[in-house]
Amino acid sequence: MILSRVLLPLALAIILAGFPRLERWFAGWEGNRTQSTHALAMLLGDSRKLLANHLFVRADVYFHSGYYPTIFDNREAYATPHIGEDAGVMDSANTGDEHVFMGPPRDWIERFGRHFFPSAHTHLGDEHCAHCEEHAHAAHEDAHAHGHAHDHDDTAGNTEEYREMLPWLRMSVAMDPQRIESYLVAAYWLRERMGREQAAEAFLREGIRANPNSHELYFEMGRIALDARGDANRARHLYDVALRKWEQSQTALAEPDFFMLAQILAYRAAADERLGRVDLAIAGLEWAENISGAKGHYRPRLERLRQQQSSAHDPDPPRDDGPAGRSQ
Amino acid sequence: MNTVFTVGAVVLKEAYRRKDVYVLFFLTVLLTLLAGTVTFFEDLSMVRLVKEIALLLIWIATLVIAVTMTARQIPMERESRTIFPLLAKPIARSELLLGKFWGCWLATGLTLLVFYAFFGVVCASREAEWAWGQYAQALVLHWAMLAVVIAMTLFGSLVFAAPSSTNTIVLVVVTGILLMGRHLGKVAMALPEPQQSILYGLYFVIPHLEFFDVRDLIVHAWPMLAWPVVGLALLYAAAYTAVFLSLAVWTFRRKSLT
Repeated sequence: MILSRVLLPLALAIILAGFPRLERWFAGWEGNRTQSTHALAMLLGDSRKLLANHLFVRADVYFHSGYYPTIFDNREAYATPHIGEDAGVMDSANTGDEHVFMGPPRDWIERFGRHFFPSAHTHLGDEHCAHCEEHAHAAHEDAHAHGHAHDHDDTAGNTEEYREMLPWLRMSVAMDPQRIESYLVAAYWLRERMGREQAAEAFLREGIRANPNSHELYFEMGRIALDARGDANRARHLYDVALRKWEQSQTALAEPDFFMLAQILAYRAAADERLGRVDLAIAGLEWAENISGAKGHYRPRLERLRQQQSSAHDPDPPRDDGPAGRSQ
Repeated sequence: MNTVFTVGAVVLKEAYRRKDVYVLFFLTVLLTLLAGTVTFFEDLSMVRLVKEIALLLIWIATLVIAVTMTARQIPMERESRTIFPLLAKPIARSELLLGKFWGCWLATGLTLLVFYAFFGVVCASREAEWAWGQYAQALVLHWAMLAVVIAMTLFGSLVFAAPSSTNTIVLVVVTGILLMGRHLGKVAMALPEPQQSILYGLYFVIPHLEFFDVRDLIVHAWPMLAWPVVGLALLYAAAYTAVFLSLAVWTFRRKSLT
């Protein structure tokens, strides 16, 4: 009786008195998800970012046809997903040899067990490790330095197989629309390896809508304009936008993303070169060379451009060494 | 032997009168077809993700069917007291147990056939090349793995009090082995003594069910396994099945049914 006559009205009074205050606090609380327009964000909160990262790594697992280290293996050669590294959008933290993360088998169970899961290094599109014997580093032209024994052959095998890793990247973006790497990597593989620049551009536009201040997305848009469309003017404009966005977002940071800045400058120099603005191209490359982590990486290009510049004033120019040495 | 087959036939009939097999099959079909209808970058020819989802569902469904069906065999007979007239006939306890094993294993085998046929159809609808040999190997290995699981469950059903506890414990153990079995040796090496020796010993004792999981090879279109390797894996499964069945028979002979 006491319970129903005293405690119940008291509890109701506390609830009614406390509700407006609690409601105001909840509306202003940072962890409040009810304001989110994204259903997954409301449902999963920040855990969707972890899930997005996992899905991104799954794309790398597919790139290696299932041959991938677990948390129990040596992951030194897989610290940075290779799909991001190959796309030239992630600075490599990989060391060691990606072929031997398992090491020699310790016992007969391990030796026998390796028959039943992918235990040899391959990449999507390769004809079952034909490339493993030849460590084709020299063919790698992305503007980043490899600190580990990572190889691939861009032209070998069935490039249509690259599509198999794209669903994971798409799902990664669905989980976390702010995950820039997923847009960049998917766009790179769509454009560069599958020749689907329209799909790549549409995906990047979606990324820009979700992340209007991302310098990386404008950089990738510039690559589509320059490499796929051959529109150097538009590419130059996009790289300028990327540079502006970089300055806005990175200069105040303790550790600015110099890797991406060097990429933007190097590609902008390539656009300048195509537009015949050799002076600007040299200036851009010198800047990139100064800030690049891989010292001397741009030196051959710089020397060639300087030669080109001096030969423009020289009445008897030296013989051109063809387009092979020009590409970035 | 005839007695074993007769008991097995009864188990098979009982299995197909129940709804759980059909429910799990239709759930697998539905989820796989749903996954198949999703397009990414307007490309319908992506197949590996669909294969991965389908195989995962098949593994979950068949594991659940095998464990739940086996776990209720002996307790159900005891609960309904049909075990007494059954044992009053000229049938040994070991024969009854082997019949139960045979019936459950055959039922899961037929279920696997249906599941893998569906998987084959899904792959055929999306891929130019049909890897029937690989699917056959996967099915045989999967069935062999289920033999170990069924024998283990049968033993568990005689040790644990109720089918629910048998289901839970066996599913946890099997999932643990599938996820961690391959890595136990590596984990053991990082531990100090005596934990290292205990874990490394356990690594050699447990049945390595992950040997029979060739889903990654199928999903990522790896070449077929060499048949001698498959043969060795089957022998390995047969050995562990025999061990668990022997333990079950030994326990059942000493068990009071009242």
